Amino acid sequence: MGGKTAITNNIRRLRFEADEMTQAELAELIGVTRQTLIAIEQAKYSPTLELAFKIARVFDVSLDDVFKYPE
Amino acid sequence: MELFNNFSTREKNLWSELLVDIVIGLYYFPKMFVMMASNTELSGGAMAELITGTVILAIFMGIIISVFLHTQKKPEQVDERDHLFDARGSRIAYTVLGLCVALVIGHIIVNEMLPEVARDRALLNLSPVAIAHLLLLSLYLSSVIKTVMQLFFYRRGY
Repeated sequence: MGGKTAITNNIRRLRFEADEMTQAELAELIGVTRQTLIAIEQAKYSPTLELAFKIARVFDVSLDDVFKYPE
Repeated sequence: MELFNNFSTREKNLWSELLVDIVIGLYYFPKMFVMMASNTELSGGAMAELITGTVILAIFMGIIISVFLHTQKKPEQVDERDHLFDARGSRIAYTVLGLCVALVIGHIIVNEMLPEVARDRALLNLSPVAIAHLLLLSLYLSSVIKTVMQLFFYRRGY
């Protein structure tokens, strides 16, 4: 589908496992708008490395557990 | 309205900016170009009246829109995607502005080098005030295009 980045992510699953955290809650924790988080979740927008680390830190997992770059 | 509620504050601000720009542009430029086309000397009084009207309209619209938009929760911070879209919009607007300015410069050069050609053609034979307004129109167009492009990126999502 056009507009998707090559990087996939597990944010939706991680939110669900984190007590069904809402997009708004996660967005606030990492300091972005909910619209930006939606774009990241849908793999339409690749976050900066700094933001990627912030997301991983919220869920207390490694960067690799959140984002995947296909071989 | 449901769709509008899903917009970020930044996107809502851009929509309001675009609305204000369009209304002001439709108010100012047609009047100005009619004044110039009818060969009315752009007197200080007429110009002052038009500029004052434009400023009052801009302030009035700004107040109405901010009352309408900012009846909501806490303000959102600008994030990296906002900065990215702003930068992309600025790049496109800069190109448009550059092209417009190049056209105006070309016009001035033709006017200087071939005065006999320019004299017979109304579009080429422009006064300094008309050229100043063409430059103003270029700034306006580039600003509108920047806003439109930013809105396009927000709607597209990336």
